[in-house]
Order: sequence, then C-alpha cells, then structure tokens
Amino acid sequence: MAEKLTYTEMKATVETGAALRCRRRLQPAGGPGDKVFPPTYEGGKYAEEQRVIDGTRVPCVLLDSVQSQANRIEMAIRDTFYHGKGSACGVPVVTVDFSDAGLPEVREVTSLDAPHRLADAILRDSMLGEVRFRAKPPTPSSEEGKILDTATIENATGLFGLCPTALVFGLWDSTGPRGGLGTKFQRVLVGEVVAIDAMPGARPSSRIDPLGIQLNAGPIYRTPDGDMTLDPALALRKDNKAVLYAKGKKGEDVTYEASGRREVPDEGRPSKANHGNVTPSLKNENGQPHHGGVTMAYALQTVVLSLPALRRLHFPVGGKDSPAADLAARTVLAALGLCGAVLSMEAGCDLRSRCLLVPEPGQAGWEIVAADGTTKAFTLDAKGACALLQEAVAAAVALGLPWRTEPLRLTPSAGLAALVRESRKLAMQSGAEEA
Amino acid sequence: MLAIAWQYLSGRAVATDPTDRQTAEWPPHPDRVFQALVAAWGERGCSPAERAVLQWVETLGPPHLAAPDESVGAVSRATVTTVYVPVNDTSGPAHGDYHEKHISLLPARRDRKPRAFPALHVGDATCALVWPEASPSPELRAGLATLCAAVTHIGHSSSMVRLWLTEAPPPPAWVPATGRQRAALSLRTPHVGRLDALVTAYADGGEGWTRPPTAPWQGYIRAVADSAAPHSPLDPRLIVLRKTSGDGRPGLIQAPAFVAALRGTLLARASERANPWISGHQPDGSPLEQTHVAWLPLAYVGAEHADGHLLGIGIALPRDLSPDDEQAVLDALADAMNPDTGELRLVAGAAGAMDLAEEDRPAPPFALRADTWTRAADCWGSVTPVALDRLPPRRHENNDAWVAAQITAACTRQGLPAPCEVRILPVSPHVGAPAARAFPPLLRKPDGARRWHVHVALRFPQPVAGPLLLGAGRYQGYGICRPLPTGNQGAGGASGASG
Repeated sequence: MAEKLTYTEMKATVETGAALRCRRRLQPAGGPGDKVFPPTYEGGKYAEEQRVIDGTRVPCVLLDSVQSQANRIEMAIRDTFYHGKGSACGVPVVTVDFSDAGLPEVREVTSLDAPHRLADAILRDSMLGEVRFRAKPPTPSSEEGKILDTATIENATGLFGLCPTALVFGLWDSTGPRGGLGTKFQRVLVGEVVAIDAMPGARPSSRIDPLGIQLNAGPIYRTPDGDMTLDPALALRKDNKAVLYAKGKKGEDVTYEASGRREVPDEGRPSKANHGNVTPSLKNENGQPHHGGVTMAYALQTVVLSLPALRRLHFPVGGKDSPAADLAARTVLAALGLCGAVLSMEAGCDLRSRCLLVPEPGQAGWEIVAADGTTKAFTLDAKGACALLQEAVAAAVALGLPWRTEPLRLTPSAGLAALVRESRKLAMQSGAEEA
Repeated sequence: MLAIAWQYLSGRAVATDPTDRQTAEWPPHPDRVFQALVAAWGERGCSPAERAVLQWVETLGPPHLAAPDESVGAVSRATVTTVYVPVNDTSGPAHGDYHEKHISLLPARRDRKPRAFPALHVGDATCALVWPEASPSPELRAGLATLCAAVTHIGHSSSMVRLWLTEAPPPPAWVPATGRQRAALSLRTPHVGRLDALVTAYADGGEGWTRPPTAPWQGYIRAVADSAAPHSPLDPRLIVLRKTSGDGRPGLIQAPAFVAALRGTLLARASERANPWISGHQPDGSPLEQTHVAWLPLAYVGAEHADGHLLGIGIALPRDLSPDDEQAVLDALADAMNPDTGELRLVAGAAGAMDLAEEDRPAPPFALRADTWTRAADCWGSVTPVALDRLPPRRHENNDAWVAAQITAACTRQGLPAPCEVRILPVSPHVGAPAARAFPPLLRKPDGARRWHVHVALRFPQPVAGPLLLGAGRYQGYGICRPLPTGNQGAGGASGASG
C-alpha cells in the first residue's frame, strides 16, 4: 500500500531524485466503451499515432496536449488559491484588474491566464500605480517589473517571490529589453493524455425545426436594417430588384425577381436565417465526414515533474548563496507543481464537450523516480498537496525567501479598457454578420 | 567501456529534424546528448572540472548507438499537427492613447502563428551511447555521472529524460561506418572542439544563442548482432531496391526474369574487380567457389490478402567480402542508376519494365525490410521454390525422403545446422506465393534439362539467421526462404525426416 508523501521525503527527493511521475488510466464518464471527442486540428483531423503495445500495433489519439494540460494545471492553481478581487492568495500572482473599467464579464487577467504568463504583453503594458509595469527605457518601469528583466537561473529569488508559477511552467521573455536573448526558464512540468486503442466513430448532424418552417416558404429578403422580410417591397433594392437575405460566395448581394420560373437561389432560403429542418447527414457540405469522436480501451494520463530542472535554479538570499535556501525554494516549486497537478486531476478531467474522463478505480498513479531508475509509489490528495505546499512555503519564508501573500494588482491604462469595450462590440457585430 | 544510457520519462521523444521542421528526428543523434550535457554544465556554474570531463568526451570519437528500431515498429511517429500558438510581440502604444489596432493585445484577439511539435512515442525503452574502447579514470567517470544526473531533457524541453552511466547497455543498433563502408544513416556526433564552438555561439548571442551550430555528420551502419547463432554466408544487411513504377503488376513468377535483368544491368557496368562477384564466374569462365552476390525478389506474401506481387529486389552481399570488393560492387550499382532520378530501369523482355530506387524510408512495408528476411528463426518456408541440384534416380521408392536429404545437404554445405524437419510441399507455406508448378523451370547448363523444383518448410534445431537461400538457383531468385511464424502447418505434403 503506497504511503502519503511527507515534506521530509519530498525534500530529500528534490535533492537527489530524477522525477516525480504520475501515470494513470482514465475511462469515459459514461462508462468504458463510450465515445469521447479528441481535439481537432487544422483540417478537422485528430492527432493520431500508432504505438506497439505487447507486440501489436495499436492506434492511439491525443486527447490533451502538453500545452493544454499546462493550461489546465494553471487554471486549477488559480481556482484554488486565487478567488478574485479582495482575496488573499496562497500563491503569488500578478493580475490586471479590469473591474473598474465597467466591463462585468472581464474581471481580470492573471499571470496564470495570460498566454505568455508573466512576460505577456498585457501585463507588460499595464500600470502599477502611476508607473508602467515594464516599460522600454527611458520610460521608468516599476521595481517589480524590473525583477523579470534581471532574473536568471543563478538568481531566481525575485521571480520566486513575485510569480513562482513562471518557474514551474516555464517562461521566455522574448519581447523584453533583450529581445530573443531575454529571460528564459525551461518548464519543469509536462503532462499529456492519450487515448489508447482508439477506433473512430461517426457523427450525424441534423435539426428539427420546432416552428416547422418549410424549405420553400421563402424567398426571404434583406431589409435596409439587415433584418429579414418576406415582402419584396420592403427589401433593399439593387438594380431595381430585391436583394436576398444572405450574401453570395464572394460577399456580394444577390437579387431575385419573384415572377418567372427561376428557382429560388440558396441565398433566399429560410435556412440562411437559421430556420427550417436540416436533413440528417454524415458528411458536411464539403463532402468530408463529420469528425465523430473515438472509442478507446482506456486513456493514459502521464504527468512528469523534472527534479534536475529544479536543481538548476539558485536562490541567493540577501545577495549571498545559500544551499539551504536553494533546497527550500526548490521544494516549494516541486510542491507547487505537484499541488497543481493533483488539484487539476481532482477537479475532474472535463477536457471539452463530450470528453469527460474519470480515473479507473484503485490506482494511486504517483511515484518517485530515483536517479538509479528505481520507483517508489506514493499517494497524494488535494488536501495533502495543499498542506505540503504550505509547509514548504513556511520553511522557505523562515530562511528569508520572499513570498507575496497579496496579489500584485495592476490596472489597465484607460485606453486598454476602452479597447476591451470596443472589442466586445466588434465581436457581437461580426457574430451577427456571419449568421 | 563507457556507456551513457537514458530513458524518456513520459515515453515521448520530441525533437525536430533540422532538415525538415515538420518531421521528428529518430534515432537520437549523439550530438544532442552531448549538447544536453553541455547545457547541464553551463547552467550549473560552468565548473572547470566538469569542463575537463566534456573535453575528454569530445576526444572519444563517434559512439555506438543503441536505440529502439523504427523499422520494426518499436518507435512510432505521431501525426504532425499544426498548432496555432499566440504571439507575444504585440504591444501597446509607446506613448499616448490606445488605438483600435492595439486590439490584438487582448488574449481573445491575440494573433496566432502556426507551429509544429513533431514527436515520437518511445515508451520505456532504454537508449544508449556506447564507446567500447574508452576507459575513463575514476575521477572522469564520477564527473560524468554527476553531469548525467543533471540533464533534464534531450531535444525539446517537453521530452524529459533520465540519464545515467551504465555498465550493461542495451546492444547497439548502429555503429559508425569505417573506411569505405557504405553508410545507411548519417548522425551528428560530437568531435574535438565542439564544446568550445557551443560556448562561443552562446556567448555571442544572436543566431548562435537561439539555435546552436550543427555538428558535422558521421555515417553509421546497422550493427550486426554478434550472436553465436548460426547464419547463412550472406550479409544480413541487404541493399533493398523498391519498385517505384513499372508495367503492370509483376508477381513472383516474373521474378527470375527481373533478377536476370538486374544482374545483367550491373554486369554491364561492373569493373574487373566486381565482375566475379556479380556474375559468379572467374575471369576464365569457371564458376566461383565462394559465395557471391545473391538477388532476392521481395514480394508481398505471408499476410491474409497477400497476392505475391513484387515490391522490389534485394541484393545480398557475401559476409566476408573485402571492403574494396564491396565498394566495386556498389560502384557498379551506382553507375547503373540514373543520376538525376536515382532510379534504375530494368527491362525484362515479356515481363515488362520496372523502375527501382533505393529504399530509404524509415518505416517501409514489411516485405521491404531486411529484418523480415534475415531475422533469426527456427522455422523457415520457401517463397520461391528450391531447385534441386540433381534429378532423383528412377524408380525411387520414396522421392520425398530423397529430396529432403538433398535439402539437408544444401543446408549443411552452407555451414548451417542440419534441419530436424523438412517437409516437401507443392505449394509455398507462405500465403500469396505461387505453387512450385507455376514457376518457370531452371535449365541445366550442360544438357538443357529442366531442374526439379519444390517448395519446402524447414525446422532447424536452433534459430538460424538469414538471408536463407537454398538450392541450385539460389543466385537467380530461386530458393528464397522467409521465416515462418511457429505453428504454421503449411498445406499437405508428406513430411520426410532427414538423417
């Protein structure tokens, strides 16, 4: 029976071990054999591969990529440790607060949300008080912003106190003052979910109209306001003819005269206004079959936390090297990565629509991989992981390492807030036009 | 001996081929491991003691490489998908108000650029670099062990590894080609001065910082397993030529015609040195006593729907051929190829024409893999019938036993153990290969009489490594054998036990 991981054991592992690893099997929430939907890539394709397992070739499909798993773990850390404006947080976070900009739906963008984490352009261009968070010289930058410019593996103390998740998930400040030679930290945590022995399925698409609008009930015309009408007299006119509701293939207006035997063009059918039935079919309008999910034997989730990568980081305190502080800080980062992974797993693997996975019962999954290759299993639940993190942080802070308990709140400049409002308007308009 | 071994911790190797950024690179190049060691040194304070260790490793020369073989499916490639990654080089205004064009700053509206992350699934297999002749001092070994333990990844940062020094590495799959040996693969290897080149490139910043200079390439050949297993006198590293185009769909029945065409094409371009090996005759016309170049028609057989159509032709060289003779034979082959297209055209009379090119794909069909025809096995079955040296005496009581004795003698003459079971069959034990009767007969030179040919299924007392070619026509495409999956009973035929 695997034991729970203790702080002392974790500290010893960080000092000499090779990795902390979890490999666990998942099944669809609907039971083994139910269909799940992998992510589609360009062209509607799945990311497939063939693996040889026990001597037979087995088709596999990627269910969640390395980047996507990292994002999920970041979300789990954010949701557990940071609950929004006015709350203290257990993990240092930098956040841009949009709540005063009058946009209820965009509240904030944290360093865990932003695409490039702490080095993201949004954080770069936001304000800390009166000063820009990170500005190009000669404009003055904030003190905290300068930490990112000067952080290196020999001195990661500042970054540790400001945003330790950057040291866990990796960071590259490729657009900072040093350009491509900017601050770069490699990732320490890698996760992936793959469906093993995946058989593709089929998916029909169809619609029954509750209003029972018939295909030939049209033609529908477009009014000058962009609305729909059956009366050609009310429609927009072009070349003395009424313009149909939808635009043609190249975006041009299509006209139609009701007299004469000419068939109503597609642009005048009620389906262009999203009314009417859709005949069930297995192929889309380009003749390609709809991607139909896969059924699998099981899904394999692998999460690896690299300890040599942590051992490359140094955390001098007060300008002096300190092996004790180094080990303490590395243990905090290992605990943070582990905590994030465990929280993300316990939050459930709801990867996307129709892809909810649950673990197979009776497997611990986590193991310590020692430098000589031997493995030792351990268990860890969310509560235990958070307790480990707290213990590690307390030990690190006692040795003089920084750790913000208040999130660093930046404010968007007035222009950026206006930009967000503008973008919402544009999104709604372009959505309407595509219909 | 010095051996550095590693395992991919998440079972995945992510490394992009520098010559084709949409393809994953396999096997792992030794220089990648060296660069990982240099990174471990550089990011831990550049200690002078460890620098000395790295400079010593540079002097060792190209290592043997043990890595799971892609051609047998031990490593599989994931489809390379295009991923759209958000960029970070958008920015707000340097001064003044935001403008509409700065809208791409927001995460939802951020520009995305296509990227590919080619990867391979390796599983838990162990890879290794082996220098059999190296003998490091205890200090060097200890220093190298520390460096190995500090390596985080080989290739992309998401292909995390555990690296260690081992006394018992897995057997090497690739060894450096020496002298004039024909390389099957080119790998980048560390060399004297590589550490300094990497340090200089890093210090310069710019291009050398983001992408280090590539190391020179070294040719590698497949390692032949040094096992004590009995083997045929032919080298298992076949030169495989695959059919790229041609008339119709020739099958094994047309194989002797194409083999003769290939032999003739090469003979026309063979130098004096290569001539005896290709033709099988001395300059004075007498037959060559030693094993010479043999031709294997490679066809689609053995699978459920196999139909025996030709996929290519393999060329097997004798095992003990001197490098100069081997080079002469390969020169003849190179001369016969069209330099622009890299293809060889065979015209075989009524059988039509066929274009052949060298098989260099990492994962070709099973029939075009040398391993399919040469791996050690104890049960073998003929794909093309074995032609007998002599005709049976008249009014023989048990023809089959006599034939079995002939086959046994043919095996022992090649240095193989006598088979413990020989079954004579009218049809091939491999699905898709034609029956013996369908093949054109071989004619005996002296009197033009037809040779008998039969299909056989053999069982040896121990696994035997191929390529296994038996009988009178073995240099002309007859008597080609292929390992049988054990338990295959073949089709009818009386079994004849040999003495």
